[in-house]
Amino acid sequence: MTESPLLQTRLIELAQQLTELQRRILQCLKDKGPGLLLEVAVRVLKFTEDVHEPLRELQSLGLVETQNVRGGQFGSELYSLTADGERVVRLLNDPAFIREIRIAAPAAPDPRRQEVELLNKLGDVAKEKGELDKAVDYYQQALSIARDQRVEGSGK
Amino acid sequence: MNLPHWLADWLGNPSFLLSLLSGAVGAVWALSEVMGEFKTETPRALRTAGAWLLVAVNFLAAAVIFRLTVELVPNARIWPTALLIGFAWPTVFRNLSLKLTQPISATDNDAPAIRLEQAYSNVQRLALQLINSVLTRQRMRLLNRVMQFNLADLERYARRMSAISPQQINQEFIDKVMQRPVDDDAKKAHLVALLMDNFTRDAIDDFLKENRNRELRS
Repeated sequence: MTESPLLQTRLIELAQQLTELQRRILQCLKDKGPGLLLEVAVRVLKFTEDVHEPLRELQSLGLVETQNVRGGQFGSELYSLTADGERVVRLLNDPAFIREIRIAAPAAPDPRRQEVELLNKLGDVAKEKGELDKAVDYYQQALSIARDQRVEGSGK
Repeated sequence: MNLPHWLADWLGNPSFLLSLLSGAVGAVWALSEVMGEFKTETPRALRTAGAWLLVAVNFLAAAVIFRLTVELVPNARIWPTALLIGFAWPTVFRNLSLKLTQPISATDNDAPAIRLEQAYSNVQRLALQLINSVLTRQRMRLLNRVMQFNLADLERYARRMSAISPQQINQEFIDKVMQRPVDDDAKKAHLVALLMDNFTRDAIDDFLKENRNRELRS
């Protein structure tokens, strides 16, 4: 069955906003079928408390649904993919779509650069408080990290 | 052996036998759907009412379509037609949509229609729910039984299984489970779920057999 362009666009948007863990959860529900919270958690090598919230979000997005079962102490909800969930998994298995997501994803912030920025800010605060020696110390630390970064960058 | 009169009549009727043939092909389609969905759990899934509901619906639908066809086209009372209808049931007939009215406005897509695809998908959904419910309860019963055993025995078994298995099991995950500051039952539940997920329920059955004399007294 062909999907309407509107639905396709909505599914692409949904797939793009999923976290890595949510994608893995959807994939394992597709590969191994429905499962209780405990089973879904173990399939992605996590614990129940780690997957509870991501599963709830997937449910609110309409990608996962629950069926009440008598699971006792191991949970009473069986999670499975909805029709939209199946479509999103198909999208996530499309190499062209994955390439597109990787290009669109913003680069992760560089922790060293963040450190330089924070040290500079600390230097500014110390300067404002009149603690000039402390400020100079912060600025020197920031400068040294920035120089190291430049050396590493040119070495690549 | 004397067959009842009505049964002898039916078995002597070629149309009836051909309907059975058509229905049997439809039933095979249903079995393939169950196999595709439940993979290694197929034998257990087939022991549930949900699976037989799906098989029965596919059998009856293919058989009824064949009967209708031979009533309309008497020359179609041949085995190739029976086979063809059995094969065509899921691909052609099940996807039919019989529109009851055709609105003048081209944009109106809500015209009343009998959508066989939707009807079948509802049956399929119900069957899957029934099967999943039974299989989940079975898994939970197994989990409950393993709770009566020693955590150390279960951990040893999980490590041994992952060591001898060609499947890649993350030993680190077992370490993480064991190091968690939670009670033994939670650790056991995670280990059992891991074993079931990677080695099917048979692995847990083997563990229970191996350790049947070591059950904890609760």
